[in-house]
Parts: sequence; C-alpha cells; structure tokens
Amino acid sequence: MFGLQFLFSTALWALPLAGLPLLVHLIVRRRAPVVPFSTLRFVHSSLRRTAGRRRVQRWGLLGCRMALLALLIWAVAQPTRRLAANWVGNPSVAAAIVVDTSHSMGLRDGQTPLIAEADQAVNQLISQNLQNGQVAIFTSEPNPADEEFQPAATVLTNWRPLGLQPALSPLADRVAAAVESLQKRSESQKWLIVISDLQRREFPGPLPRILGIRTVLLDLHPHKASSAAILDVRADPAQPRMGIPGQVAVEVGGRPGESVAVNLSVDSLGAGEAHPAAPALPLAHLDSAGRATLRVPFTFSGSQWMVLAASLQTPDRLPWAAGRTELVHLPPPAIAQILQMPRPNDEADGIVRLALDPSQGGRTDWPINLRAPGPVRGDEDLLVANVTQWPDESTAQQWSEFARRGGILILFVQPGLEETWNDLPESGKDALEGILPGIPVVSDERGPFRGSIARADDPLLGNVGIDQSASGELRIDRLTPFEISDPDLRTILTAGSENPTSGSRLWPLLTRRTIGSGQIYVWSTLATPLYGNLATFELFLPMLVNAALGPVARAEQVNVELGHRLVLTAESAGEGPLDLYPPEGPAYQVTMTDDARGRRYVSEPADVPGIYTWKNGDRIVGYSNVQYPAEEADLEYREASEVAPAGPDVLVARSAPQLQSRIEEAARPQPRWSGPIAVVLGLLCLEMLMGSVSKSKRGAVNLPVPSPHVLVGRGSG
Amino acid sequence: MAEHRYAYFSPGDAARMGRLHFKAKQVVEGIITGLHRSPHRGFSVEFSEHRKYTAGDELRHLDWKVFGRSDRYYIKMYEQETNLRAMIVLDNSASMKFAGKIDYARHLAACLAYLLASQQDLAGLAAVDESLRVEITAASTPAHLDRLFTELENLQVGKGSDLAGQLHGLAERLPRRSLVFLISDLWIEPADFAKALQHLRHRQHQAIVLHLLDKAETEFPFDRRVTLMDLETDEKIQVEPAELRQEYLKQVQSYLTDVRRACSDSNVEYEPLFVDQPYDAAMVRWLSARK
Repeated sequence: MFGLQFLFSTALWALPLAGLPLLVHLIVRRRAPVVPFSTLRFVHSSLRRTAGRRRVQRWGLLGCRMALLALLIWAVAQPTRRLAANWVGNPSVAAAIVVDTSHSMGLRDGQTPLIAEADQAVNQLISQNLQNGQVAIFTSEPNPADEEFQPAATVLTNWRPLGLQPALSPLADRVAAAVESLQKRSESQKWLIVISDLQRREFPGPLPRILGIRTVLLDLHPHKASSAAILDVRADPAQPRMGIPGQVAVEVGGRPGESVAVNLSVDSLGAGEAHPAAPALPLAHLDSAGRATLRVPFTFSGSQWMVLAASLQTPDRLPWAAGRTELVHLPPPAIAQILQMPRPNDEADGIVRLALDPSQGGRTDWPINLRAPGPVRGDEDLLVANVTQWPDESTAQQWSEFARRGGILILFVQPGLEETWNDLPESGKDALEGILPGIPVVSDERGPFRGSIARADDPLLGNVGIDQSASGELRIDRLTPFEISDPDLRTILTAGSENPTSGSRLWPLLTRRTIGSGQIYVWSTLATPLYGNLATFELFLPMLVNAALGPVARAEQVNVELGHRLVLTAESAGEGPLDLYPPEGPAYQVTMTDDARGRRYVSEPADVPGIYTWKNGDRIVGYSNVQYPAEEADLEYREASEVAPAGPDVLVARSAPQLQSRIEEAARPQPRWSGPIAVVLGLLCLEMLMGSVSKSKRGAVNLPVPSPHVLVGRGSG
Repeated sequence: MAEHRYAYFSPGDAARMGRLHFKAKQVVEGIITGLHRSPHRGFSVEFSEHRKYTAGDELRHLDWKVFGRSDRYYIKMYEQETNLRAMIVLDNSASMKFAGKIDYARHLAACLAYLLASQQDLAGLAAVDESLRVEITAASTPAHLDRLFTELENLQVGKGSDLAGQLHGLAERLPRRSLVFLISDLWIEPADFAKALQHLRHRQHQAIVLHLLDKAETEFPFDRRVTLMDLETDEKIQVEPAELRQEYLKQVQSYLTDVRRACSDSNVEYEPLFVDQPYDAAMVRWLSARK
C-alpha cells in the first residue's frame, strides 16, 4: 500500500474498525438524565442558531475519531519501506545491468583496473542479490544476445569476464536502451543498475527517472584522474611529402600545471628501410585546461609507410593512454614528364625542369620523379608543357583526358599566342577551351604587370615556407590575356598593370581547373626572363612543386580507432580480394565494395589496436593503424549526484563492497512511523482542543450579583 | 422546637421585618394618614406651597404675614401624608417550581405583607398563573394578615402562565395609585411584559418587580448531556450543553437586558433576586439599598 510494506500486515484487517465511531453515532442513542427546567425557550433558539456549527463540529469530530482509529491500526501494522528487501529470492525482479566497458575503465585505481572491479560487482550482484531474478547485461558495445533478459543462473553460467570495448556511443544511450527493455517487462520490481566511472562524455545529462524503475548507480571513478595521457600525435601538414620539411605535433593531456616528459619515435614499416632519427620533444607544460601541444620540425624521408609513436616517459594508471601512434603514408614520387612541343622553347623547358627537380636527380627522397625528355608513356602523374603554339585538337583532347583520369597538367602559355587564336578552327578552339581558363583575347594593355595573390588561402600556397607578401615582387613583362568564362575556375595569381590607366584590369596569371579527378594549372606566361621574373620569384618553385604533387588529403582511413572499420581504396590495391592481417590473430579476407563512395575495401570493425597489413597475395598493398579511442583518455568525470540525483528509489555506491552494504541496509525494514504518529498526535490535540474550546466557553451571565453579606441564613426563621 | 403557626412566615421573620420600613418613592393614595406622600394638597402639618386667594376660601388659611409684607392675599397649602395600598402579585405558574422559586416567592410575599401592615399600610395578594387564582384586597388588620398567610400556604401551583394578561387585568381593577409588587421569574416575552408595565403606569400605579432567578438559568452549568424538561409544557429535549452554552448565555443576557429596559422605560423598580440567597437577607439588602 503506497509503496509500503507492513511488519504486521494482518493488523490491517482491523481497518474496518475505524468505522466504529460512525456506527456508534448512528445506532446508539445515549441516555441522559432528565432535568426539570424553568423554560426551554432559550434552549430552542440556541439550538436553532447553532445547528450548522454543531453539525460540522459533530461530523468533524467523528471524522477525526475515525481517522485516529485508522492511523492507530496503521501504526500497529508497522509500515516499513524496504528498498531492496525483495531482491533476494524474489523471482519477480527484472534487473538491467548496464556496465561501462569503455577504455576509460582500464584505469588502475589501486591494484586492479576499474573494469575488473565492475566485473566483480556484476558477478556479486547476480550471484548474491538477483539469483532468482531475470537479468540482462548491457555493455558499452551493443551485444543483442546479452541484452535479452535471462534467469540469473543462466547469465552466471555463460559469464565471460568483462573486457574493454570501444564505445561508439555514450553510455547514456545504452542506459536508455536498458530502460526501454525494462519497461517492457512485467515483473513487479524493476531495477536499473549502472556501473561506470561516470566519464563526462558518457553521461551528457542525468539518468532518466522512470516511474516504477528503481536505480542503482555504482560510481567507480577514482578520486584523482590519470596523471597524463597522449591524446594525439600527428604530422603537420596532415599529408606530409617525402623530403618536404614539416612538423610532428603531439597533444598531451593531464592535470593542469604539471610538466610531462614525452618520447617520440619514428619507425618505417618497410623492412630494412632507413628512416630519419626522431627529434627530441621538449617538456610538455600543461595549461590550465590540462592540455599541451608539442611541435618539432621533421622531414619525412626514406620510407613510404612510417609510424610516429609518442609515449610518456613515466608509466600511467591508464596504461594504454600512455602512448599513441600515427601511421603516416608518404605518397610515392610523382612521375613527371615535360611535353615536347613542335617549336620547343629550350630556355623555358630548362627552367621548368630545374624547378621540378632542383637536384637534377641527385636526391632520392625528392617527391617528383622527372623523366628525361621523351614520349609520354601513359603512367605519368604530371605533364608540363611550355605552350609555344596552340596544340591541335587531338592533342588538346589527350591532355584533357589525361587530367580527367586524375593526372595533373601544368601549362605555361607563351604570350602573343592570343593573336593566333582566331586562326584556329572552331573544333580546335572548343578543345582548347576545355583546358584553358578562357578565351585568349587581344588587349591593348601592355606590361609590365605586377603579379599578386588572388586567393591566399589556396592550398597551393600552403606550406610554401616563406612570407607570401614576397609575391609582390613578381613582375610579368608580357602575358596572354584570358577572358575567364568558367565560374568554377580558381584564379590563384593575378597580374595588373604597374601603371594602371582607366582601362586597366587584372588578368589571370595562374588558374586551376578541376576536370574529373585531375587538375589543370595554366600560367599565362612563360617562366623565362624575357617575360618577367617568374623564374626567380621565390614562391614559384614551391608553388610549382605543390601543384605537381596535387592536393592529396590526409589519408584518414589509415588511422582509425577501435571499433571502426578499416578502409583501403581500390586504386592502390587492384580489384581482387585482399587479405587483412591484424596485429593479433589470423588474417581474414576482405572483398571490394563499390558504392557511392567509390571502390573500396572495407574491413570488419577493428577490435585490436596496432598495425594491420593489407596484402594481395604476398604483395603488401597498404597498412592501417588502429588506435585506442583518444576521447577515452580524457578523464573528466561527473559526480554521481549529477548523474543520478538523490531520491527514494535511487541507491548510489562508490565501490562494490559499499554497494553490498547499501543493499543490505536498504533490505532492512525501515519503519516509517513518524508520519502517521505525527498525524495521530495532531488529531488527538485537535480533538482535545475542540473539547476544551467548548468547555472554556462557559461563563456567567453578566447580572447584578447580590451582596455577599447575608444577615440571616435561609431557613433561620 | 415549637412549630410556627405559618409555614411561610416565622416569628423570626416578624422580628426582622419589624426593624425595617418601606416607603413608596412615588405618591400613593391611601385612606388614612401615613408614611407616604399623598397626591392631595390639604391643610395638614407639612407646608407645601402658596396659592392666590379665591372667593370661598377659608380665611383661617390666609397667610397674614405675606399679606402684611406684600398687601396681597395668599392661601397656605399643606401636603397631605397618607398610607399605602399595595397589591403583592405572586407568579404562580409551574415554572416557579424550578429551584424552589415558588416557596421563595411566598416567603417574600408574607414578609412584605407583614412589613406593610406593621406601618399601617394596606397589603393585598393576587396569585396568577393562566388566570387569577387568588385575590385578596388590601387591608392591614391582623385578621387580614392571617387570611393572607393562610392563602399563601394553601395556594396550589398552576400550570401555564399568562402573567402579562393578568397584569393588564389588575391594572384596571386596582384602585388608582396603588403599589404593585410583582414577584415572578418573568419567563414571558419582554415586549408583552413592557406593555403590561406601561398599562400599570398608565393607571398611575407604582410597580416594583422582584425578579427571581437561579444560577442554573443564568450560567447553564451542565457539563454532560442532559434531557431538559419544560416545567410548564412538560416538553423534553436532549442537549449537549457544551455545544450550545455560549449561544444560550447570549440569549439569556439579551433577555435580561430587555426586561431591565422594559422596567426602566416604565419607571418601574427592578430587583433581581437569586434564590440561592436567603430571602430575608435579600430583603434587607434590597430595602437598605432603596434608602
């Protein structure tokens, strides 16, 4: 009754006795002594005037007496509240146990990791408290088989020790799933048991409080968070180039104000391949938010696959967070060829050749493999042409097709060609318009022109290594004016007259057009001293190399976190099935999928951290790096009171033994006497007050009182 | 111990009454000279006033001293003193049985009659309930007192009450300027009572009301459920005294105020007497206060 139980519930059978006062009132007519009285006229009028009040008072008193009796019987029955009394041996209990198995539970708080403590707590609950109930286990990683309600004995028989799992969604979502399952159950008692370290990311808000579901929260989070963790290690830029200077960045987290020593190592995956020595990292001083980012310059070279590994110099309570790796895939050198034109400009070709390969084949780690002059073989990644006369239609189409297939075409257009444009056949013009930034026009405007950067945020200007304002020194004496008609064309550099007049305008100097999966860059001049200082312009060489290497994005798919799938693009592997070798366990085959995102090899979710090797037969076609989830190393906890606000149906403990003692404490009957007793006493007082008020209202009528001195006593005569 | 001759008048009463005097506060008409002021101006002992001489006046009453000083004729007038004619009206209704009020009233009536007779005043008796049960005309002889005392003893208590109606009747029948003693518990409508008193005053009677009360009536001291029985109608009603005490007391208070106002409006003396006090002491206190 009202969520209460009674120690002596049989006493409740006496509750009808509460109606006794009413029965007595209705049946029993009390006899009263007859008193002769001089006149009843005032009694009659008093009765008339007080009829309403007397009725209310009488029935009120009757109600009080009945309530008094009922509450006395209630008190005799000894109402109690036993939160967990029926756990033991009660078959009508359904318990959904939500266990946090995310990697943050790998923290060692004392001798054992939190996950082991959670395992012990679950076992204890099932074997000691819920042995006759129906139990479902919800872990961070969904497992439909375990999430079915089963007898506790079955759960215990099939029990496997809990292990750390990737948590792709917050634990709050798993709690919601558990609540939904519980709500479908018909058992009289439903329990939601949550065991977690209460990492903030796992519980964005408090647990839902559902009517009829009691909540037990075992809060395992340590009093002090882990001292430090490597949160990220990466190359900067995200996609480094072999031989091009870059940086390695390491992000460290921990307690604010502390200093942490971090080691950095670089390994190559190719057997026997040399790799540069890893630079030493400075000491990480954590800021007020407990974060620090370390950066050291580094130039990747020697191997196409390299592993950056950062680790704390001192062991940490969360072992896996003490180190982190990043697999870096350096793209192979781009194969470049300078196209032979019918009327070659040897000076221009020589300058471009020197710009694309400054060491002229001397550096093996240069990212561009410039072939000797010769015919196009078809495997080139980059074609460069100093256009000294308009190519014919078929050549223009070949260039366009090359770019469409993913190649990079860089054209330098000799100034003056615009005057021969009109001599071209229409079909030739159409083919050329597909690769040029627009239609070349004849302009009265003469040089010199000053080159300027049109889009400073263009990737081509990224990582050029010098101040971009130096581009102001670019002088172009002559250029081919293009009337841009394609709105999708990106103008990177422009050139305007050094002595502008009213009719002066800016002409495109360097443009980029994306065709298919390739790109076409057009310079509207030649890099010879005859047409300006482009060859000696400081940004020319890095921009040309950047353009030659193409906009390769960071290969995100080579570094994934546990629980996610590994992806390899088919272009680098062929079309047949591949074998995937995890760091532990047997290899398995992955077939190619062709979907909206292209042709790819997509593996099963990774469950072991480390380097996975993709092989086509015996040939290694790629690697993938599986890491621990970085967010799990960010140990910011919520208080239990925030997650499960205190309430009559909420039980919170900080350890498994404390949980047991809390359950035992809750199982003890807790008499709830105070309320009824207070009401009883209140009613008693009320009744006494009502009686005393009536009595106190007696008083003498204000009459002239006879003189007290009596001369002769009555009857003396 | 020798038995008294009269049940309601003892020798002790006679001794105590012998030391008391009753004097009417207003003029009364008697038949002989007595203690009380008479409305008639005469040529007695007490000088009252002068009036102009008119033809026919006896010359012996002429004030020669005034004539000698003012040369005008004035006749000396003297105030006549007379005895009192009193009628003791005894309420004989059944309600007077409550708390021995009827016996108390008989004692009072006997003492009053004796007191009046002892000072040569005339005393009569009228016992009324629904009707006039006994009426003895006023006299002051020992034989008359004997008859009055005997009637008091033989008086049977009536049932209902028509006090107002009987007072109206007496007002008409009594000789003018009589003194009326009303001894009653006065459980009648205050308005009717007021009219009866006004009637008495209209007939130039003087009235004195001796209101007999008991504390049970004014304090309602019952503390348990009781069945009250009306002595006049025999009606019974069961009440929880605590529930209506306050209202009852308010009603009684209001009633007594009305009675007192009715008396004062008609210039009637009003004296409440509680029957738990000895009647002789009450009379002494009352008469002493009148002086």
